[in-house]
Order: sequence, then C-alpha cells, then structure tokens
Amino acid sequence: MSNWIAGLELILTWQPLLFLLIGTIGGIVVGAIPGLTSTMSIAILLPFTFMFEPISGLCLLLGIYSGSVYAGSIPAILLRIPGTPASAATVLDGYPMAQNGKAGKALTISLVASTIGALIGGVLLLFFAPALANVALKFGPAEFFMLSMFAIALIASMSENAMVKGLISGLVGLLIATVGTDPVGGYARLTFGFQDLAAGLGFIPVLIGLFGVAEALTRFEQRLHLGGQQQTRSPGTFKLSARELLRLIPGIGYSSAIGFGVGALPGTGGDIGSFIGHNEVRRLARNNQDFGKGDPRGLAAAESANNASVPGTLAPTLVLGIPGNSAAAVLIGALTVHGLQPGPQLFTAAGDLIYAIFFALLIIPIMMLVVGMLSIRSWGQITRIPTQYLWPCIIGLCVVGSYALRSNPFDVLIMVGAGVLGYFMLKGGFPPAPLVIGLIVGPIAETGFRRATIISEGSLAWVLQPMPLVLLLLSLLTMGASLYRSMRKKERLTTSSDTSDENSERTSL
Amino acid sequence: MTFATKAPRTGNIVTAVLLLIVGVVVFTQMAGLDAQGDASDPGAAGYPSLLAGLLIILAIMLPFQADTGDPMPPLDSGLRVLGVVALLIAHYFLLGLIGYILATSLLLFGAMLLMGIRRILPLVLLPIVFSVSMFYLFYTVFGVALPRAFLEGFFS
Repeated sequence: MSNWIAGLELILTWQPLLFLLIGTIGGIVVGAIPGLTSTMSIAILLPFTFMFEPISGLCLLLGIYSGSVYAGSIPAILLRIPGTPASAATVLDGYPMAQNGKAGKALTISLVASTIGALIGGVLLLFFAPALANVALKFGPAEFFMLSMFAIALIASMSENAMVKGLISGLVGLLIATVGTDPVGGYARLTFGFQDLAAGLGFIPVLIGLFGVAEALTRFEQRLHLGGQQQTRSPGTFKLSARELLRLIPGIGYSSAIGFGVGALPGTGGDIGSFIGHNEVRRLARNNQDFGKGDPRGLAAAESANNASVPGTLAPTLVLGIPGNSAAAVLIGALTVHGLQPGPQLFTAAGDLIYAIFFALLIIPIMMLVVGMLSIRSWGQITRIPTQYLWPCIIGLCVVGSYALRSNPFDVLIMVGAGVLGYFMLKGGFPPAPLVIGLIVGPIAETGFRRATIISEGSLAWVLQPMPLVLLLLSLLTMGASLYRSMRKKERLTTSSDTSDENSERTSL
Repeated sequence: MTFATKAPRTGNIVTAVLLLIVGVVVFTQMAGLDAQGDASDPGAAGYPSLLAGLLIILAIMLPFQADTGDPMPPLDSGLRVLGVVALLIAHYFLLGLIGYILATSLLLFGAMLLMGIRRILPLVLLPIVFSVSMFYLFYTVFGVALPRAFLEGFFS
C-alpha cells in the first residue's frame, strides 16, 4: 500500500500532470495526422525528456502514446485512413458511419469507448502487474533468456507469411546489441577499431533512425501530401444518449479485456487487439449483420480494445523488461536513459515511479475525455494539416535528438545508418519490431544465457529446467502454428487459383 | 498476399548474400577475439558466434521465402530518397565545420526542396526558425553542447 501512496504523491503534482496534459494533446494531434505513428513520435521526442525528472519525461511520452492511439480513430472515421496502425479496425465501422452522415456520433463513440477501454486497461494493469512481478522475481538467468527468445519468436510469428524475415530481424537486433563491451567479461567486441563503438551502438540513435528517418525517407519517396483532404459531408449530431451508451457497454467491457490481454503478449499491440476485439464482439452480438457496415458496437469494440492494449503492452515492459511492442520498447529506452532498468526489481527499486506510471495511465483517459469533449468538433481540421512541411522538420528533430544524448556527432551517423537499414527493411518486407525487441532484450538474453551456462558448469542442461523448457516449447509452438497457418493459406490460394483456372477453361470450351 | 512459388525473389537473394557476409564477418571477428572466459563460460565470443550461426542458417532459407514488402521506387523517387540520405551525411560532416544552426538550416532547406516546396518565404524562413529555436532549446534550456561556430555566438 505504501507504493500506492508514494505513487499518488509523485503523480499528483503540477509538473507530471502538466506533462501528461501536454503529451495527451500532442498525442491527439500526432494520431490525427495520417502517417505520424505513436512509436515514431515517442522516439523523436524522447531526447526532449532527458533533462526532466524521470516521471515528468515518462508522463509526456505516455500521454503521446495513449493520445495518439486514441486519435488514430479520427482520420480512420473521417477519411478512411487509420491515423496509427492501432486504428485499422476502427475503419470497418467508423468510416461507414461517417458515410451515413453520423461522423459526429462516431467520433463521440470513439472518444467514450477509448476512455472506458483505457480506464479498464489501466485498472487491470494496476492489479495484475504487481502479482506478475512477484512471480517474475523468482526468475533466474535461464528464465530470462528463454523469455527473451519467446518474445522474439512471438513477434516474428506475427509477421504474416514472413516468419523467417521476422526471425532474421530479431537476430539482427540481438547481434546489434552485442556490439561494444560484453556485459559479463567487459571485452570490446565488433567495434572494428572505432572507439565510438566501444560503448555500443547507441540505442536511442538506432530507434530514431529506424522509426523516424526510415518513415521520413518513405514519405520523401512518395511525396504524398495527405493533409488538405477534405471531409465535406455534414458530421451530424455529436450527442450520444444514455440508452445508446448502455447498449455499447457490454461490448466495450469485453473488448477492453481482450485488448489488454492481447497487448500484454510480447510483440503484439493495439492493431491485433482491436481486430480480435471487434471480431469477438461481432461473434457474440445479436443482430450482427450490420458489423462492418457502420455498427456503433463494432466501432466501440475496436476503439476500446486498442486503448486497453496500451496498458497491456506496458505489463511485460515494466514487469519483465520485455517490451510489449515497439512503442513500449522506446519507453524502455526512456527508462534506461534515466538509469532505471525495467524488470521485477524495479518494483522494489523504484516502486513509487512504477505506481505513478500506473496512476498516470488512469489519469490520461480522463484528460483525453475532457480535451475531447471540449474540442471534438474541430478535430476534422487537424487531418488537413499539410505534411510536406512536417517531414523536413522531423528529419531535423531526428538529427538533434540523436546527437543530444551523448553530444556525439557519431550518433548522427548511426541514426542515418539505422534509417537506411529501416527503409530497406520496409522495402524487403522485414518487420522492424523484432529488431527493436531484439535490441532491447539483447543484453538480458546474453547475460541470461551465459550466467545460466556458468551456473550449470558449462552444460546447457538448464534448458531442461521446467520454466525454460515450457518457454522453449511455447516458442516452438508459436512458430509452428504460424508456419502451419501460412501453409494452409498457401494451399487455399493454390486451390482457389486451380479452381479459377478450371472455370476459365470450361468457359473457353 | 504473395508466396514464394510465384513471387520474384531477387531482393531476398541479395539480402541473403548480405546476411551471409555479416554472419561470416561476425565469425571471423569472434575467432580473433582473445576473450574466451573460463571453462564453464561460453565467453564474450560464444554468444555472438551462436547468433551469427543462426543468422547464416536463416539467410540460407531466405531465398525460398516470398518477396514480401513494398516495391522499389521509380528512379526519380529513389533519387529523392538518396538525396535526403546525402543531405544527412553532409550534415554530419558540416556540423563540426559550420556549426549546428547553419548546417541544420542547409539540411532543412535541401529537404524542403526535395519535398517539392518552391515558395521562397517558407524555404528560407522555416529552416532558420527551426534551427535557431532548436539550438536555443537544447543549448540554452537543456544545456546540451551542440556544435558551435560563428553564428551560434549570437544565441548563446
């Protein structure tokens, strides 16, 4: 209970609250502009938080993260363009509602469902995370190594039809993490004679490059001016009656729990959570024929799930030090910059900070609701911001951000290299998320692997201990299931193409 | 959705070769590392070698995978991307020579030109306002030692 009070004391002061508000408003703007993702925004704004108190900096980033996940629904509803990947499922029912002249109501439903979803996710995190941390405290090096492998296997298997590419991405991340001084013996490795590499490839410049520069390069390639798109149809009423809200509540509750659970799995996030939430609510709903055609229950399910997944992704991040998704990986970067190592020990070392983060996740939805109610009618304007001026500025922010941490121009070069790598990864279909997760869990995995082997006197018998074995089997199962799904899909496609060939032959005969 | 049977795999083959080179380089670097640790420790070289081995195995599997991802851009778009990368590298070299404000102004000016902006007022004004405000924020407010030359003297 003392951590609860200490957390409340830490968060309920003017500075963290102000940063939460700034972050939430900033996040809403970021989320509403198509093309600006929450991960990219957190990565490029991370250097701005170095100079603040850890809780203030984290509040800013958490506000941006949560605000942008919510506001991704605005262009999804108005323009059929998800503002962030987490809003992809919102398009299914949100856009048809707007087309039917109910854009205003859709925006209100999105705001209310997001608020409730984020609150439910926050409460679940507050109660489940400490219990999970107690279990995690019993983990040894072998468990942490296998957990890292499980996270990479899970996220790689999420790469649809490209598991090998996902695994390669994760391995490259693990390899990048080995550059510099080794964490056990202190020997310099893979520095190729560059003194600047002795401390490793800076995590922050790599992140900024992968998510900021790579995205900017893609935008320069396309030279798309997404801003300026007009939404001319009348938005209709913004009012949501109590009766309408009550009808949405069961779906919101169910979908929020799903969103939290899916988010808590390493490597997954709001995008997957919201699709599963939407699908499950549709499956259980009566009169579900309008789902996908503008059913408010579908919109509420998608929005509550993706917002509940935000606290969900932070569960493995804070409790185990294993990021739930790439945005959470960047938040780990923010913690480590302040000398805090996420993991079960953080609950004892900085319990007040952890609980302050939990409470921040409960305050953000309230702020989101208030800001939303005050300005919901003008959000259509945000989607019209011309982005051709934005991307050059983002390049400028990437440069100053990567330089700022160590005042080292070499970090700018690392950022450029990571940006080029990220760009070619997008072109080649290599998902960047496993690389980031690999980069983050790299030191945990190596230390775990070596310590477990040392404890077992040079043998790998630790793999057969119950918990590591279970995690190994789960990793293999995850990859096997993904492979099976991919093969089934391939078979189905082959069969359907054969059938269409036969049909065309019959027609020609 | 594309599958290996029908999709062109040139990109995968090129990437596989690059990954094989990375794997071999890591192996040779680790072989030359005199840090094997004690008998029970895989050593500083053991873990990266294990990763390199796995990377080589996956690189061999890569050419048999589908060429997923986005298509490579047409020449003009590709040159635009190359232009931004060239600007960033030039910025790295210019930082120490002409200071943060001028180097960043030039970077933004070039990037805006590449973005297709031709209006002279924003082309001149935005880079200057951005770089001066960033310098002021980071150097004066945050205390970060950004590279300085003659222009920075006016703002610090």
